[in-house]
Amino acid sequence: MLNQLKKKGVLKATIFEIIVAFICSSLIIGLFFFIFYSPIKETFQIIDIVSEKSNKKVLKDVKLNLETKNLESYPEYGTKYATLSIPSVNIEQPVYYGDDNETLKYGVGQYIASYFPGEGGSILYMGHNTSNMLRNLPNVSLGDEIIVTTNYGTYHYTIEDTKIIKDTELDKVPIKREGEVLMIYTCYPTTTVVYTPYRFVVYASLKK
Amino acid sequence: MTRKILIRSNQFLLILSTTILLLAIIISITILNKKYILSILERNDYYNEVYYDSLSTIEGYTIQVGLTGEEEKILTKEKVTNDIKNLINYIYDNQELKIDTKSLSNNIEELIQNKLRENNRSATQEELIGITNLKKQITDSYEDKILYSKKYILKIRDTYHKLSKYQKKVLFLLSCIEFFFIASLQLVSKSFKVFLKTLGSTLLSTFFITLSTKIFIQPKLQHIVIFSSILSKLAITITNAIFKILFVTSSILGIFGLLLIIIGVAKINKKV
Repeated sequence: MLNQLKKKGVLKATIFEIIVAFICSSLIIGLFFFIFYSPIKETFQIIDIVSEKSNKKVLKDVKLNLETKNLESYPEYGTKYATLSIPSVNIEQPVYYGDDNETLKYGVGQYIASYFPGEGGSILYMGHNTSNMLRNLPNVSLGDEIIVTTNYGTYHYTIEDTKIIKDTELDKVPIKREGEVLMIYTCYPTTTVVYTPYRFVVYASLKK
Repeated sequence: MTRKILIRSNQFLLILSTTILLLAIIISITILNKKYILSILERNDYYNEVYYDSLSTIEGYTIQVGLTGEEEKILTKEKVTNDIKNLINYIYDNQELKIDTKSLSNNIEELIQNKLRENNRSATQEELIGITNLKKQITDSYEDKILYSKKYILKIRDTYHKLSKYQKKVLFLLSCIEFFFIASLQLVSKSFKVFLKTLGSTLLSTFFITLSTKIFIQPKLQHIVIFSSILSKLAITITNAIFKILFVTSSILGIFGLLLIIIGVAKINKKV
């Protein structure tokens, strides 16, 4: 009986000390926050700013709203969403949403501020002038067909014009909503060994 | 009553000094320790990641000039490893920072000249200027992959040297303060058993404080982005490693503290 009482006493006293330890640690943390509230708040704000948001939505199904002519959802940056085919010059390339160096290693990239096939606006694609990409692009002829197969539909275009422009002449590849025009460009000449300021651009309009 | 207040006040100060001392020791054996950082770089496969990232960037340039597939002739893994180690030596040992871009430049030149020879021609005047620009673009990009930002590297180096200058003195001072509070607690407690349980409670408090940092601060740091995904991943790994060491050490202290509490309380009860 005495032993049990002693054990109970030990347990109570131990729990009491644990509670005291917890209260002391809480007081210290509270004091720390009270004294350093501003720098701590600023630090957490900076951490939030430089942290990647982990609630990215991965949109797998891209759909076109036929009434508004807008996509209901868009592909994630850097993902493949279509295939580009120019049968007359044996070009068949995957199309990625995005135009950075990393994306362009894998196929044709789309300028992210341009429209998508079917949306009724200007679409701007670009690709490297290497033999496994768009080296043959300058060999196209007016009237050649371009086919863009997306996961929401297939679109046929007819080449109506080609131009050689400078990389700074952005007005020659305008992004507009009036009329669906597919513009594809690559570095020119295609056999250069250094960076070239020229671009070979193909302009194709949507076949009705 | 006064004695109890003195004991608890002493305990409060001892918790503070124990926590600060623990933090200071962990920082000095991790971030301020060059060997530790080198081992983290090795374990995290940092050299390889930077190498492949650099190759990918170089490829972005070579693909435009028809030199695809030749990137490994421009840059080797050994060069990247040596340059990163040179950077670490610059930060920790104040050695001269030498990121050799001349060899990169020479390799690019050789590849281009080979390609021109294959096509039986030499570079035009305009192409020669282009080649110079290409070499500069590639070497500048490579330097950025290693250094990220010269301004911040300099800041890190200066901060490290300021901290390491006073590291031993600070640790010695904190240890003295710790022993002072322990001695003062023993004095105020009068009884050894009271001293034991109070010391145990102190160690347990330190555990609670480090547990709260693990619960509230560590999750916030899991998605930080610093310059690149590779460096961010490294920073997160180092942060997690520090939290792990802190938590494990304080857990051991906490368990030891709990034992001291039980021993102290049991001995008091026995006496009673």
